[in-house]
Amino acid sequence: MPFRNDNDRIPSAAAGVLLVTSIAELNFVLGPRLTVEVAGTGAWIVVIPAAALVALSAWIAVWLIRAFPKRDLLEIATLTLGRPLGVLLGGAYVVYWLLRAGQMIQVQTHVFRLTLLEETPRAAVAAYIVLLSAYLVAHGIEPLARTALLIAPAHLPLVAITVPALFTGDFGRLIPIGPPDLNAALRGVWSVFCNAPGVEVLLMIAPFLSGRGSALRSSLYGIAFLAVLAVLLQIALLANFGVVNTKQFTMPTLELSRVTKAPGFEGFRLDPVFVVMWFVVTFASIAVAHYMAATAVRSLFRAGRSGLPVFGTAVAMLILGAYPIGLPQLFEWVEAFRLYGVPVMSMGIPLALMLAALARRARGAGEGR
Amino acid sequence: MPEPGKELAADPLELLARDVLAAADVTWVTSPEEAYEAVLGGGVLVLVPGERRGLRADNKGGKSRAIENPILEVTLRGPRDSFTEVLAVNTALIRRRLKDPNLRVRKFRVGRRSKTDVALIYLEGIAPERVVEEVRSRIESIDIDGILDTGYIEHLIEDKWWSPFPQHLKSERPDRVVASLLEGRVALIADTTPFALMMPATIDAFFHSPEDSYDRWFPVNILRTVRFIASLLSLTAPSLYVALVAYHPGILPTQLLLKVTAAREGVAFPVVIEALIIMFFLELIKEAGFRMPGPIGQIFGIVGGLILGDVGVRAGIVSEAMVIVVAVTAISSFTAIDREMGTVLRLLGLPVLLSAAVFGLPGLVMALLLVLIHVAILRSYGVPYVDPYPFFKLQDIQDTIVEMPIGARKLRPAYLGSKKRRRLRGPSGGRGGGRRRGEEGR
Repeated sequence: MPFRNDNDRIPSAAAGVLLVTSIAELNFVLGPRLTVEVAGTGAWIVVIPAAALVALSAWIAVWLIRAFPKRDLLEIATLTLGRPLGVLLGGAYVVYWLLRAGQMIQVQTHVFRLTLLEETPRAAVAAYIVLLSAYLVAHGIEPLARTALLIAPAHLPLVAITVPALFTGDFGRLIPIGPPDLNAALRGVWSVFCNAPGVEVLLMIAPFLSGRGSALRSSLYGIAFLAVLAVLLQIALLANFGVVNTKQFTMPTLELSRVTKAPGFEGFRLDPVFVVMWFVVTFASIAVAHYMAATAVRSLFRAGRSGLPVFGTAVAMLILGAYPIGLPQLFEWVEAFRLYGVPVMSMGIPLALMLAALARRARGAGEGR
Repeated sequence: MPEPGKELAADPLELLARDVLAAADVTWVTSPEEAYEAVLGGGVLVLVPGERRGLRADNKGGKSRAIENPILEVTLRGPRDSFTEVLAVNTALIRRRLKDPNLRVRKFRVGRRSKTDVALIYLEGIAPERVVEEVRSRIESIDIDGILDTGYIEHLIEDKWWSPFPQHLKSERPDRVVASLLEGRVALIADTTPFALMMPATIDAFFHSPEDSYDRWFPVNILRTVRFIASLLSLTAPSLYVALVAYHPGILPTQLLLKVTAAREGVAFPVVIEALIIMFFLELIKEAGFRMPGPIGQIFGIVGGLILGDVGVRAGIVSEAMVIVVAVTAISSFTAIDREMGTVLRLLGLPVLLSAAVFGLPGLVMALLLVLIHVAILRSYGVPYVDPYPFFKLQDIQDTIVEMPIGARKLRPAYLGSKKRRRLRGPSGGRGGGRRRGEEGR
């Protein structure tokens, strides 16, 4: 796919930025509870092997990028598996990204409803988010990457609530009671891995990278950054709330932001500030998923620079994001979606494509050698 | 008069052109259009019966405003001269500061009827050829009856006409224009206007004062940071106040919350209406103040502000807290170096306010995201408007929200795409121990 204009060209460092943006979304709000549920006191340490798994997925993606220069995921699938399977996979990814965007909008609007806007219709907030996303996505990958990097400081409130909590926590709560439970640890690793979706975006942005040299390196930096944040957050949560309380909170990170105090500001509450700042991070993740879905539709229908895929996918996102569903059902659905969807889409299919490419290489056929 | 011993030309027009007319610039006129242009442009047309061509003698002068202090870009330190309405004077002011043979002045005539002289100025080898050619082609594509100010040109050649953000840097100061040329930018000046355009524009440059390079780096950095914070305040202060008071009062520290609540006692309107009223007052006073003669305008501004604010509070139309918020907004917007940028940010605060009034803090953040996305998609002559912030090369941070001492700014900004990056060679005097190369040990 040739470069079309300046807005379709991004430096290889943008790979890491988009990867961080894609993975972060609401996981720092929802993920800790899920991991503590399965891994107990070891919830913080399982993040490290899970990050290694995510890094492995990124390595597979970058391997494919190098083997198929200037090709996106769907083109690679078509080349390695044939047109019918390629189209089928493309369709599956479009649905996957739309569902991801939809569930992020659903959760975010519920979070707003619970914490800040009790009476505002969720559909109105969802429409606002989708319009913003469509405006950004319609202008190409470069402004998207640029915006993602500009709003990277929105991660700081997470640091601002985590670091002070490390000093007030009881680290004795991190010591496991009884013998180490390998099974729980493995389930914990899997839980964290399933809550880190988005590695597949590397395969969709590949044609736009102006150089592929440091794509893997910047991706690994991004994964390491998120892993450090996640480890610190899990330690802060366990040290402050313990396993039992962390499991009981729907969104334990939000609880942590509620108990954090800014020195010298009596009555000043950080939780709404945290919610709106983390929304900024989530919005970037929504926009990335939107961009991926729109680009996949463009690629499937050979739509060139048409704006229709952007606005078509925006309508689909709005319907999914504003569909009336209760929070408990939503959480059940999100957990199931992540448990089955993320491993397949982030690692399973790219691995299958890599094996298919290796098979082609063994046969000495065309591209991908 | 012909020089002694020199042969006289046989052709009378040749004779006039070469030996008689004592004008600075004598050119041939071969068509009626050129003849009209010569006469209407203030030149002298010499026609000889029986000749199919004529002579144009330009010895323009006429009354023009003297070079005066800048009006909009006032600085405490630095040159005091500013551009005038005469193109030749303005180019001379630039040439006086840049005696470089690579300084190029390409002239155009724009406007079917006004035939305004426009000069494209750049340093060859420093300004990227791509930008120079882009500006040239955009100027040549202008087909309008008249150009009265560079503002016309700006609107006709900008990248996104619908954007509220200015996409050209503007200045009435020759030193600022020269600084831009040295960075690798391109300038455009026109006859009959003292305002030069500079391109490509990046949002960062709108907050840089020429004085920043003249003063010590320490206060400059503090004040530049203040300027950036003030710009953010002018965009967000009223909407943040409305979101906090109307939707999330619990966020405020207890003491502040009590005081704000007490101040709002007896105010007849909801906080958003209150904000809109006082913002309208502010614009009213500002507009009226500008239209009045100098001293009266100043008095009007002060008296109008005091009376409207005080009476508004007493009448229960607005609260004291809101008056303070809007006053902070107004003062903040005037700290912007570029008047237009300050106004744009302050007025963009209105849609941000409405968004915050409907959706509270999330609405405020979403409106700010919209502004951020908008500036992220903007480009000025191919250069992203928000450069150098994301994906910057490390040396580009030397003159952004912070400014390194001039001795540390050895390179031109990478994002402007200059071919010759190096500005400063070797250590500056102090760091070199005050000795020239080769003098060590003497």
